[in-house]
Amino acid sequence: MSGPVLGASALAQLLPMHLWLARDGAVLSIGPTLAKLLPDMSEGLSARLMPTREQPGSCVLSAIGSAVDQRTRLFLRLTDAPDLVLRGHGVRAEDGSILLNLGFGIGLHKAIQSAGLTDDDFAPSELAMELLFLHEANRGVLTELSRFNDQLAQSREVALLQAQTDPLTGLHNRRGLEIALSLSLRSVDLPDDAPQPFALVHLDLDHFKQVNDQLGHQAGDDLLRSVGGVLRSHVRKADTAARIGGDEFVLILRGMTSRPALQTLSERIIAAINALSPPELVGLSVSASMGVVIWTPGGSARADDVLAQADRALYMSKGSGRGRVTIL
Amino acid sequence: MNSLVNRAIEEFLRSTYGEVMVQAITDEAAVSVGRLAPAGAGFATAGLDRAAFRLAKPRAEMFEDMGGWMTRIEPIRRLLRFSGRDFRDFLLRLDELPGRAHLVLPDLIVPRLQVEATDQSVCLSMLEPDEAWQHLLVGLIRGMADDYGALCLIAADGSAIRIDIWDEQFAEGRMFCLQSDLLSDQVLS
Repeated sequence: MSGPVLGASALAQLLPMHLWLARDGAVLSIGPTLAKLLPDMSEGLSARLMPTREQPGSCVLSAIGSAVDQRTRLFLRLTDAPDLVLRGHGVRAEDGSILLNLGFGIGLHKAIQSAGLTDDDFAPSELAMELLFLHEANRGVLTELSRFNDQLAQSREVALLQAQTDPLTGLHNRRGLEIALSLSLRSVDLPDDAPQPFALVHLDLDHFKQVNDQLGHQAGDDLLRSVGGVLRSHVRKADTAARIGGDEFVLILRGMTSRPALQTLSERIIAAINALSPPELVGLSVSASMGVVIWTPGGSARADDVLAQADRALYMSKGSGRGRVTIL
Repeated sequence: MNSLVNRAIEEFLRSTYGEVMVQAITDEAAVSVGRLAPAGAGFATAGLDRAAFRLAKPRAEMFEDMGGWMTRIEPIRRLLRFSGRDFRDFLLRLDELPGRAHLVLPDLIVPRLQVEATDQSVCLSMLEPDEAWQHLLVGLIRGMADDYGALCLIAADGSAIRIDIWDEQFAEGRMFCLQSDLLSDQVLS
């Protein structure tokens, strides 16, 4: 059983990661790439390599021997860099010496880092370069895609906000109000998290039409903007202020159930709006009529009902002389 | 995967001709398509055509410049350098490029490439000739010749590309090691 015999340099060229061991563990030959990872093999095999958990046993040579004879995969840990594991297989020659061919597996990056390997260190049949290529290419693509996703999410958020905002006053528009109101009426997801009571305020300007007719639409728009400012400054962060059309505004005041407090707040808002009345307006002054409904858990959970109630209260205010508030 | 290509085109135009040019092309595209593309979506090759028109520059030159620009973007340069240990090896293995691109971006259509080599020159042809790709590749190969430090003449030759290598080691070439600096940075952060 004799075939062609390979010299040491041919072996090194063909298998840059080989390790050829005599029966007693003496190193007969080592591939040039493996030699970069394992310098000074003269200090002996066990000073450089140790068996992994998969191959228990204290002696590295016996672990290698048994893996070769049982034709199982061999895993060896570097003594100097214990996080680096080489894997491979081997055969036993007729004279009892062992020829191992080792590789890096997924620890390729660490090996390249610790031994400063280059393209020339890998046999052409190895997929090392392709693995590195794929790794970097994938990372680049993923980074780009996640950047793109972030941007889309941001644009979506801006678009959503715009869709719920009244461009003139910066308050919510009708759509924004509907969303806020339905959230207030719904017990939020958890069953034991009951909805909180709130006051819904419906506000309508008095004599707004005359401002538009006598002073022009620009003056009307300015007034609406100023009213928006007044409402914004009278509500808290958790509250909602919306312009739902023309000169109609709605406030959701969370947790506000006290009639005296609502009365005071309403009067302050009416006074502030009174103060906005343009002096050029002849014979009358701008004011506001308000209708308030206090909603407590157990009340109608339909937004339409609550809005209709507030609307009724508003018309009571209008009917009884304007510039006042009705609390239901 | 067009979003990546489109963004590359936008970034190329931005870094070469500035924000004003990008904005002008974005507006022009919005007018012709009738709507504004989402921010950062970039534009397709039509963006390069628009820029070429505005600059009174031949379309071919625009694509060549883009190819050259790509080789100066470090992550792209690294991916190209993985494909060859020296410039000649890089050229001879260009026929692997579509396969490599496909591994990462399965949707990207890259024309199949054929490489023929003689002593001093390499001829690269496309099985499905495409002018845009031809000029992009001319720019890309020219950029990589610089990167490897090779002295050569690269020119479109009919529908093919002809590379005459005068001196493979003319200059030192740019540094390349397998270990990416980016990798260690990212692991840390």
